[in-house]
Amino acid sequence: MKAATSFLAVLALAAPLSSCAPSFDTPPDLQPLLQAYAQPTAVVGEQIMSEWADEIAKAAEEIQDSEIFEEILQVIIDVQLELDAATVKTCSGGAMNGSDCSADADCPDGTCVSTGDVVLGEICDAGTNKGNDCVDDADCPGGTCGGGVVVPTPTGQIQVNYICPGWDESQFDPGYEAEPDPANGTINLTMTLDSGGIGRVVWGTADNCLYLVPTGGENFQASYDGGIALDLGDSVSPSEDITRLIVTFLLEGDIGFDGDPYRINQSFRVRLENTAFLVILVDVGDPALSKTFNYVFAVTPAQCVRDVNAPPESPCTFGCSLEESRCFDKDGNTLFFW
Amino acid sequence: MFRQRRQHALLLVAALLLAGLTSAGMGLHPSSARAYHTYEERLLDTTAYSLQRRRVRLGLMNLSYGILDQLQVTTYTMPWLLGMIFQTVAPNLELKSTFYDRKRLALSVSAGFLTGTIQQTDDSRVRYFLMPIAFAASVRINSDVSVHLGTRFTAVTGGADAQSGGDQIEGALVIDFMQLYAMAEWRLSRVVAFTFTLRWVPYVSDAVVNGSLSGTNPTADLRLAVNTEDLKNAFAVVPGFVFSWERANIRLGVGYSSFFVDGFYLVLPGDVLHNISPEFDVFVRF
Repeated sequence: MKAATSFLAVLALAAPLSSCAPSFDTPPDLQPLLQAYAQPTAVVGEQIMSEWADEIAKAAEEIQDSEIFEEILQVIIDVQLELDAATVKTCSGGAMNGSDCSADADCPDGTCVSTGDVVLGEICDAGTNKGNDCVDDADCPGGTCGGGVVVPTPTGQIQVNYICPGWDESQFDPGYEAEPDPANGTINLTMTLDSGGIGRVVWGTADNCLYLVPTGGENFQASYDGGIALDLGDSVSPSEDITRLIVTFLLEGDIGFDGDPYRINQSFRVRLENTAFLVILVDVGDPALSKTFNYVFAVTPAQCVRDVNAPPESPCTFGCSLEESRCFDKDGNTLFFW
Repeated sequence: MFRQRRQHALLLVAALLLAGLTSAGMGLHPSSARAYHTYEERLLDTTAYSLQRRRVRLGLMNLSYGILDQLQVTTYTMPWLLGMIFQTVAPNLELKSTFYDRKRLALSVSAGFLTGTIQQTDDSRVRYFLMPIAFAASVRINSDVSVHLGTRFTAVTGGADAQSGGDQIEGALVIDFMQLYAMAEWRLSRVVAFTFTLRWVPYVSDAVVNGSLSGTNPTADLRLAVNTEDLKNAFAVVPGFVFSWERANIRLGVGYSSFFVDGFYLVLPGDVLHNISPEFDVFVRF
C-alpha cells in the first residue's frame, strides 16, 4: 500500500512531462504538381480546347481580376522584410570587416552581408527608447541595441497571421492608420525556415479575407475564403526579391470579385513584377494530374499552349487565342478552331 | 585528429590510474571498521534504493529525507548555492519511490523539477525549467556485488525575457533528452565500495526556440530548431569509490568524456572539461 502511494506521488509529479515534445508541421507535397508543369502529358487539339476554353478563360479572369495571389505574396514579402531585419549582418571587407551592420553604408569599402543567424528580442538598453524593440543602434537614441537570443542559421517554421485590410476605401488615403479589424478576415500561413532562408513551400488558409483591388481608378471589392499552397521555386534568402520569382499556386476555395462568387480549385503560376504573366495548369485527366497541359498568358505569342509535344526548352507547343477560338503555329497559320 | 585521440587516451589512463591508486590506498584501511556498507545501507545515487522512513542524508551535493520506507524526497544543493551566488536561487525537488524491493531486485521511479533564472542584463534574463523522470533497477548479485541500471528522461523548457514594460516574452527554448546509465558496485570492504559507472545519451531532441518577429500585421511566430548534434551519443565512463563510515560518507571518481552535472540533470560535452568527468560528494546519513 505504501509502495503504491509513493509510486503515485512520483507519477503525479511527472505528469506534466507528457506535453513537452516539440514538433513541426509537414508541408504539403507539391512535387506532383510541379512535375505536371514541367512535363505536361496531354495532347491538345480541337476537342480538348472546345471543352476547356471557357473554363480557362473564366479562371484566368478571376485570378487576374481578384489579384488574390498579390494579396498572399505581399504577406510573405512583409514577413520576409521582418526576417531580414532580424538577421544578423556583418561587414565583409573594408575597414569595418567583421563588425555588425544593417546596410552597406555601415561598411566603408565593404558590403553588409547576412550571416544567416537570427536574433530575437533585441531591445534598447538606454535612451529615449529604453526597453523597446530595436534592430540596430539607430533605433536607440542615447543607447545601444542589444540582448536578445541569437539562433545560429536556424531551421524551423513561421506561423503567420495577417488581418486583411477590408473594404474601407479610406485605407488608400494618405496617412491612413487604423487598428486591423479581425472582422475583415485573416490569412494564416505556415512558412518553413531552412538555414535562415524561407523554404520554397508556403501553405495555409484564408478565412473570408476581404480586400480592395484598385483598377483603373476604381476600387473593386474582393475576397477569398479557402486553402492556399504555393511553391516559390527554391529557398529564398531574406534579402531576395520575391517579386521576380515565378510562383506556383494551388488554391481551393471561393473567390469573390465585385459581388460575383467563383469556386476555384486550380493551380496557376504568376510573377508579381509582371501581373500579366499567368500560366494555368489544365488537368483534363482522371485521376487528377494524369493528363495535363499548360495554358500560358503574356508570352510571345500573347497566349499559347504547352502540351506533351512541346519542344525542349520551349515555353509553348503552339499559340492560341481564347478570343478568336483558334490555335495557330509560329507563322500565325491556324491549326484548328473550336 | 591523432593528437586529440592520444590526448583522450592519456586522460582515460590517468583517470584509471587515479582510481586504482585510490583503491589501493583504501585497501590499507582495516576492514574491521564499523559496518557501513550493509544490507540496509545502500547507495542511493544511480541506484533504485531510497532512504528508509525518517532517515536523513545531508550532503554537499544533495539533501534527502525518507518520508516513507519507499518514498524519499531530495533537493540538490548546487542549484541553490550557485543560484545564491548569481542572485537568484534555483528551487528543485525530486521524489523517488522504491516501489518494489524483494529478494535481490529493487525497482524505483523518480520525478522532480528544477527551475531558475539567469540574469543577463538589467533588462533581460533567461528562465529555465527542467523536469526529470527516471526509472531504475538494482540487482544484488551477492552480498558484495550489485548492478544498477536506469534511464532518465529530462524535459527542458526555457525562455528569455526581454523586459519591455516588464513582461514581454521574446524567446523560449524546448529540448528533451534521455540518458541511460549502468553502475556496477563491488563492496571491497565494509568501508570501501568500488563503483564503475557508464552513462550514455542516446537521444536528444533538437532544441526548439520559440519567438516572434516584431511586426504587428502580419504577426509572425517563429519556431526554430537548433542543432544539438554535439550532445547526441554523449557518454561517460567513471570509475570511483564510495567510502562509508559510521555516519560520514565520501563518493569520488574521475572518468572520461562528457560531464553529467549532478543536480542540474544536464550534460556538458567532453570538450568543455577536456574529457574529464568528475564525481564527488560528501554526506552524512542518520
